[in-house]
Order: sequence, then structure tokens, then C-alpha cells
Amino acid sequence: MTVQEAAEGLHSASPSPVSASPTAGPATARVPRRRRVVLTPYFLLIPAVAVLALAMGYPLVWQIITSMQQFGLAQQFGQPAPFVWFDNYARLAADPYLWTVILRSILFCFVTAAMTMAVGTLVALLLNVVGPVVKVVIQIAMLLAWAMPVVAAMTIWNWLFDWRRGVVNWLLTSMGFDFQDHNWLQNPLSFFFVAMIIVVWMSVPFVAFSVYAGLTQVSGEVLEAAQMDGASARQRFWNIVVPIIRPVLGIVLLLQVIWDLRVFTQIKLLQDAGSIASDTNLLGTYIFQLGTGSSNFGMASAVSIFVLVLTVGISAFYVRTMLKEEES
Amino acid sequence: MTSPVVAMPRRRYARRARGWKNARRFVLPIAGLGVMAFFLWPYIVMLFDALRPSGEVLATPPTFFPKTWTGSAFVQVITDPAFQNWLKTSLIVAVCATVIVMVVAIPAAYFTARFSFRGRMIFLGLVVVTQMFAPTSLVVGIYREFYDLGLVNSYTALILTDAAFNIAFALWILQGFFAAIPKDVEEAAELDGCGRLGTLFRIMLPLTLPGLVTAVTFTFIAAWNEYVVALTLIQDDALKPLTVGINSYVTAYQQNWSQLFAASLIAIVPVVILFALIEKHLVGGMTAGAIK
Repeated sequence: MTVQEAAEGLHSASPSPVSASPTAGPATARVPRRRRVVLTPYFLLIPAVAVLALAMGYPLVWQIITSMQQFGLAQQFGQPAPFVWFDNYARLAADPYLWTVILRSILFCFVTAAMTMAVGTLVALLLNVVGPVVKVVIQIAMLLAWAMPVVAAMTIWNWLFDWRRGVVNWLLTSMGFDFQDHNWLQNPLSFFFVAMIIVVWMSVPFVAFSVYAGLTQVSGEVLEAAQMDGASARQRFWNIVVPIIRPVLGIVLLLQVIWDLRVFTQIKLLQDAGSIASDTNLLGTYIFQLGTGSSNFGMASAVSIFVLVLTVGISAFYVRTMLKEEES
Repeated sequence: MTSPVVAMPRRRYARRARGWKNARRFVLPIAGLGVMAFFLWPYIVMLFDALRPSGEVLATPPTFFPKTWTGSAFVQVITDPAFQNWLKTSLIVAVCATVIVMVVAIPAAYFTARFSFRGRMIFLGLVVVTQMFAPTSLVVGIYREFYDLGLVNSYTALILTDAAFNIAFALWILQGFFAAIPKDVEEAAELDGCGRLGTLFRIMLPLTLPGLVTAVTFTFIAAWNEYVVALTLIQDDALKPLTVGINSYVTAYQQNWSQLFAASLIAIVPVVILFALIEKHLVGGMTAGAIK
């Protein structure tokens, strides 16, 4: 069913009492009941909307207002904030550094999200075919990676890639490559490579678990029948498995892209371990640097609204297609 | 896929299938081992660092195994009243947030999956938008809100934000699972005399168990690991959650690395327990049976 049809269906289901049955008595009695059927379920949305509005409504409105103000440290301590309307946005749009950061973030986000999805889906497929013992062991290993407190995880990763005493350099050197005292975090490119490995490490469990849950909906009998008919593994995957797990893949990919675009903690803690922040800033760390770092909350809010619009722009088409596909 | 399905010649297919069948007995477990190693590697480093005295953690040259094995860091952490407080906060916040998310997301997901109402797309779209805010800037507004409400330094503030942050995924994945259940199943249940609510709880929810398990695991871990908001909202040391609290083991004045790692390792235990409890529901077959 397309959206239009759905909307029309809704229309005809709840017409005004007059047009539906101007004469018959029993029919008029039926209309309010039918109408209740359409209205009642809306209640089911209210709790979710209430929680979202309660926790995120105020910050969102505050952010929009602040993005149009000159809001610094003085305002944080109670001074009234002068309105500058779109000055913050104009300054940002004219700032080549912001565009560098945006481009960098989009690149990092796409590469990382693609890697995460590919590895996560492969792990999920692997979980589906290995024996129960191996499966549980892999699941626990992933759970451990997923649930590790981020500060502890980042400490370990920083040490693994440490230029002086890191295990990675030691391994590569003993394998015959010249990685003695190689500083991974100094060069932006290798910095982002390390960041990507860490982000993938932290996000693959989420993808793998979700896709694996989706795979449980694929009927084994259908796959077997397809195999009997001579469909190769690749054909079975693309033509049978993917269509069934598409809703899960869709939402997981979308969230990965959104999260990787605003990634913060990992990048910040890697920067703190020794790299030049201006060369390695992504949108998340740039907003932090503007806001909490230099108390320019007006600018920081403007950048985050900008990021919001950007993310909506990137994902709007995708979300639409996803929902349409689902409804048809 | 747009290319037409071209079946491989039977015999060639069969030969390849046999070769793969022999190989997969070795290849799959080895691949599994590789995956496990990738995820566990940092863990093993952490475990060995937790098992050596703090002074040895940064010693040069580093050794893989501790020179002196000691479990004292674990004992110190477990008997530390501050750590017990952080653990309590994390547990309360994560459990409450997970319960709230499930209570509000299940009805909303059921509704969006089963009724094509006007604004359905907008609703689902807006739910996704809640994920798009950079938390680093959102946190300033969140702090001001809860400051005005007098809820800074309270569990309520953390529970509410953690719940709100994680509704999106739970709602989306559950609505996907609900939508995948054929309408016939539901109609049959209603014909058999289950009410709407009875159908939801007795028929629909059991069929979406893998989705529920995923949503619960995700929400619990996300709330358990939340860092930026907790760092800002909670200043009272006794009310901090684990993620923020354990930072005080390593400061400019003292570097208790082994305690930081021991605490982080202990912090995983509740998550593993939760997963062990619900993991058995992460198996399919139920849906396939119902659809037949």
C-alpha cells in the first residue's frame, strides 16, 4: 500500500457523519464506532512522544534559539544574550575550515559505516552457520567489546597503537616491516585509519546482533528449496535473505551513518593521545571545541543545527525509500 | 538484484558444493576464531593489565604477561564503597531506562506497523531525527533543562535522557518485526477470542522475541555505557554511574591503572548476565512455524 492510498483509505474510513449516512438510523449509529477504531490507537504513540518531548524538546528549542544569539561565557552565567539572527550561520558558511571538517566527516562516516555494515553482516551470517558453542563464544566476545566502558576501551586502543611501546608497531616490526617508533596519530590519514578500526570494533557487535536477529526470520526451508533448485550461495543471499532482512539492514545502516557522522568520544580521546586537533577534527569534536572548549555556545549551536540539517538532507531520501518499500 | 538468475550447471554446482562442504568444517570455525580474536584482543591486554601491580602497567619494555600476578586490584575495587555506589547508579539507571523504552516503544511500534495512519512517515522520520543531534551540544541544553527542574544530580534526569536517546532504535526494529508478521496470524488469534491486547501480548510479542531481545540488549548497553550526559549532569560523586566514576582511578595525582581496568572488567558482568538470561530467545523458527 502506498502512502497516498493509505491516506485515502483513512479518509474514507472516517468521513464526517453527514456525508457517510445522511438517512439511515443504524448507519449513523455505526459511524461513531468506526471512528473510534481509527482514533483510539493514536493513544499508543503518546507515551513514546511524551518521553521524547520531555527529554529532548527543551534542549532542541534552546539550541535553535541559541544558534541565533551571541552566547558566550557571560551568557552562561546569566547575562542576557543579544540576538544576532543568522550572523552565526553566515560566518560559518563563509568559513572554509567548516567545509573541510564537513567533507572530512562525510568521508569518514561513509567509509566507516560501510566497513561496519560489511563486517557486521558477515559476522551475523557466520553466527548463523557455525555450531552452538562457537556461536556463543563469538557472541560473548562481541558483547564484551560492545559493553566495555568507552574510556577504558580507548585507553587500551591508545596503548595498542602507541608509537613507543604499542603492540601494533611491535607486531609489524617483528613481521619485517619498518614500524619502529612509527607514530600513527601524527599523520591525519593514519589517524583516521586507527579511528576507523576502533569505531568499527565498537559498532560491529550492534550490527551483527541486529542482523542476526533479522536472519532468524528467514525460513530455512525456503533456503533449502532454493539450494535444491540450484541457486548459488550468492544468489540465495541476495534474492532470498536480503529482501527478508531489509528492514533491519535499513535501520541499522541509517543509524550507523547518523552515529558515525557525529562521532565524538573516540575521536576526542584519540586526539588527546597526541595529534593536532585542527588536522583531525570531525564535526563532533569541532562542535565540542567551539562550545565547551572556547565557550562560544552560539556558534556551537549553529554548527549542530547545521549538522542536523545536513544529516536530514543525507538521510531524507533514504528514509522515504525505506518506508515506501516497506509499505508496498 | 537485477541480473537474471542463471542457475549453474548442476554437476559443476554439486562438485563445488561438495568441496565447500569439506572445507567449511575447518574454514568456519577458523573464521569464528579470527572474529573472536579481533574483539577479544584489547580485552586480553586489559585483563593482564588488571592482574599486574599498577606500577608495572607502564613499565618499559612492556611484557605481554604480568611479571607479578596479583588480584589485589579486583579486591580493592569490589570493596571500594565508591565503586559500589557507581555500580548501583549504573544498574538503576540502565534497568529503569530499558523498562521505560520497552513500555513506550512496544505500543508505538505495534501501532505504526499495523495501522497506516496519516503522518506515519513523519512520525517515524521524526523519531530518527532524535538520533541526529550531536550529544556534545545537546548536553548544554539538557543541563539547563534539568537545572531548571531541580533534577541535576538525580537518577531521574539520567533515566529520562537515556530512555529518550534509545527509543528510536527500539521503535524502528520492533516495528520492522511486527510488520513482518502476516496479518492472518493476528486475525486468526482474534477470531479465536483473544482481545486486541491479548493478541499483542500472547501472539505478537512472542513472535517478535528476537527483535525484543535485540532492543533490550541495545538499550541496556547504551544506557550502561552513556558517558557525555552523565559526565555533565552528575557532579555528586556518590551518584555517578560507572562510566564516569571509574575515571577517578586515573587522575593527574594518582594512576591506578590496574584498578581502572579491574573496574571496567567488573562493569561488564551485569551485561553478560543479562545477555545470558535472554540469549536463548534469540533463535528463530518460531516465526517460520507461525507463518505456515
